[in-house]
Amino acid sequence: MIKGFGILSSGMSAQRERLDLVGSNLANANTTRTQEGGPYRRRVAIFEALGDDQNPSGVAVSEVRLDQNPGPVVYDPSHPDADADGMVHMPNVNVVEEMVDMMTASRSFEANSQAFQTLRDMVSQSINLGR
Amino acid sequence: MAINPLTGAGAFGGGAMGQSEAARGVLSPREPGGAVGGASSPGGFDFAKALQDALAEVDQTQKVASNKSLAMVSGEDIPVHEVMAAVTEAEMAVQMTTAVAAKAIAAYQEIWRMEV
Repeated sequence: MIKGFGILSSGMSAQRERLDLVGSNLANANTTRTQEGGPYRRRVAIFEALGDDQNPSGVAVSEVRLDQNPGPVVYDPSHPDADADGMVHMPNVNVVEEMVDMMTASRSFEANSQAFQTLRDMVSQSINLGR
Repeated sequence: MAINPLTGAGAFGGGAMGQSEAARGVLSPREPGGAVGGASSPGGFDFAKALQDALAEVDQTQKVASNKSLAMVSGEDIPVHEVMAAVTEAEMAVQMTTAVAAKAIAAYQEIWRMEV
């Protein structure tokens, strides 16, 4: 009925999914084992605009990319996942970077929710015009 | 959701229609030969139909909202903001409907008070 609510809701959903990935990255900041083998790789959300030029209808996470940058390699022969030279491949997750991502997601969510409330107030005021 | 403001609004709209139908019956004997008791504007804008369509749309937003609320209270993994967005949209739709219905009734009463 009122398209803006759907659009802003999709924005909040997208930021929430992004925060899920930040959570996954932080939780696996020290993970050296994965199902695919090797250390955990940082997950990045790729956003895609929904609708066409004239009829925007929101945003969605179109795919989750694995960050292909190499992670740090540390010397720790006692580690069970160390290679023959005693080197361990660590995840390419930078905790500080994740915190920045987290704040960006949080602020973007806030912006969407603020716009949602503004839209709600505008609709309310429009209805009150007739009273 | 326990409260369903739509049924209230629907009854409101239906009541307004019923009243206007009754009004035609009451008015026509007073003015013999007058055109007041005639059929509603042929080919014109069908207000009853428009109101019905709008109510159906409001009903739809209500259903979406109540489905999402139900999903949340039954423990499904549905984001809170999605539920609140649906509920807000339904709330706005109902407010708009009641405002329009109130306007329509006010207009009807205005005419009803007209001295002939």
